[in-house]
Amino acid sequence: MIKTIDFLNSIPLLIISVSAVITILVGSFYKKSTKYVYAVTLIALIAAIYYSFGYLDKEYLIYNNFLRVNNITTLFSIIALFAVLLSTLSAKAYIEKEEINFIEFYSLVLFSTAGMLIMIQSYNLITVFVGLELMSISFYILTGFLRKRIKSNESALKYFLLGAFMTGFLLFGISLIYGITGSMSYANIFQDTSVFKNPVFLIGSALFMIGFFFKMGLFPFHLWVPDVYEGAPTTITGLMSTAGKIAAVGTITPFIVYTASDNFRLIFSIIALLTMLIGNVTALAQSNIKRILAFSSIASAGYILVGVAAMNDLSIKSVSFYLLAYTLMQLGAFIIVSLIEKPAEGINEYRNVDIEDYKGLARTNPQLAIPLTIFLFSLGGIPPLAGFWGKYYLFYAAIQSNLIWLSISAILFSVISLYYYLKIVVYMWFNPPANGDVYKIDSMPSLSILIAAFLTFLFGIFPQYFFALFKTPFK
Amino acid sequence: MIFIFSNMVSLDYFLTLSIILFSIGVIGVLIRRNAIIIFMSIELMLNSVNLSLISFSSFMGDSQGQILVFFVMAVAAAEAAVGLAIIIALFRNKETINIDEINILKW
Repeated sequence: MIKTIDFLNSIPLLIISVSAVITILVGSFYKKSTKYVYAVTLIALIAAIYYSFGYLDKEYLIYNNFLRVNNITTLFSIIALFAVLLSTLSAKAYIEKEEINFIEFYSLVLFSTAGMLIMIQSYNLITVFVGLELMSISFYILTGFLRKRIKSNESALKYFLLGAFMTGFLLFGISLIYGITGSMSYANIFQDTSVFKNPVFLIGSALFMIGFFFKMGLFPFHLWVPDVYEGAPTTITGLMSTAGKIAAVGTITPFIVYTASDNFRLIFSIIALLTMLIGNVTALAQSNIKRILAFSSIASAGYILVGVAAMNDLSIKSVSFYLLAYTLMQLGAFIIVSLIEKPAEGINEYRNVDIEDYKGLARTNPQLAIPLTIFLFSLGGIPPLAGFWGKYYLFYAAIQSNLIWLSISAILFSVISLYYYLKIVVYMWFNPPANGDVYKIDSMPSLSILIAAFLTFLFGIFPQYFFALFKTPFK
Repeated sequence: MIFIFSNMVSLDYFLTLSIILFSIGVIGVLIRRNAIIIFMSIELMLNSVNLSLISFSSFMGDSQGQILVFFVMAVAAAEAAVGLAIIIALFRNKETINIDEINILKW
């Protein structure tokens, strides 16, 4: 039985899913209504964020224990919704430029957001699966949205085949967990801790986690990331690399922290180390800015796993702060890349995405070069910016769990990463302009860039504002 | 019906069959080069999981596994629609679905 109170306790999810359905219905009858659908999408996202804040410091199990609302899920939902809002704000200019201004775009973004919320709030393996697939299938379509461009098609096919392949492993893990514990509900799975020692349960949860490690782009499953991020439309790349990752991390982190046992800390630490190594070292050799940011996103997944491997009280706090900082800086950088990109005349190439094209940007387009510099400094972890505190809290959590070797190597990798971030900055500020182009910036993208840059400074100077949101401490 | 059947055949046989089918699917994904055959292998993996879910569900007398099977089938159908559309879009531009020839994106 679904009680009426359940609807009141899941307003953001209802707003997003209802507006997703409405937009696609309206779109199928009125093809010209893109402007209104854009407005509806933004209003729905803002309303969902507004109502989400009402669930802070509350604790509910809703829809017959299928979904759970508490501080952790609300926090991750707000960050994910915020990432979607920022990227949708800037998406309109880009999709008009690329002539893919269809209603389905907004509708699919909303469907994927609904999937993220279901996934983050899930308290049952069935809802985890449904939410994950809702998000992934929307992303497969959005990746291939530039359907006349071979790169976009190819990245969609790669993402689709690998994503569906990994879904098979995830499901096999779910079926083994179900077979051992006899239930799909987290309440029953986590009830009896003796089952965590059962080898079949361990294989099951390992397969389950592999599915999420794939979505996060962690080491042995990271190969799709650069290809898909390069081929997808740039705003979608921004969306996938932030909101998609937040959803995967927000689902798996509580799972890992609850089943925490010190025996597995070493495995997570090694995966984190290798992910940071691969991400940072491979990025050094890249010249396409979308690929550089893709490898930087792999490296960020490695930093996040450092915090997860700590498995202590600080884990979820530090991971969520880093995710917020990461959303601001990574998404800000992708928005600027999407503004600088030029529409292709033929069919094949994304133009103006090589770092050579960023030479002298500070002289021709200072309004783009200054925020991009801020975001890149923040990604590199330079002090008074949010990225610095994000890394600080993650490594602090790891040191609390005696993972000192991991923290030191993470800091070293973070220093290596400065090379490729600063290379772009040097190209922008200290080289003569490659061409005299002045890029047109609409009001919406500049608004989202301003918000991202402002919050990067705000949380860089006052990181305690973020933690002041919660009266009750995390479990 | 399956409940009567289960008194004769133990759970191990169902699970072994499921694991064999799953492995065939994984091997198919890894060695075949045609995008559609790879996709069929993935479907085989999903269906082998359905088999193991149903057998667990039936042996434990619990319905949750069977409910998930319905979701898996619905998701597999949605995935098939999207996947085939992506393959068609690629074929229009490139005139091949051999994944060895789909190699523009690389560093």
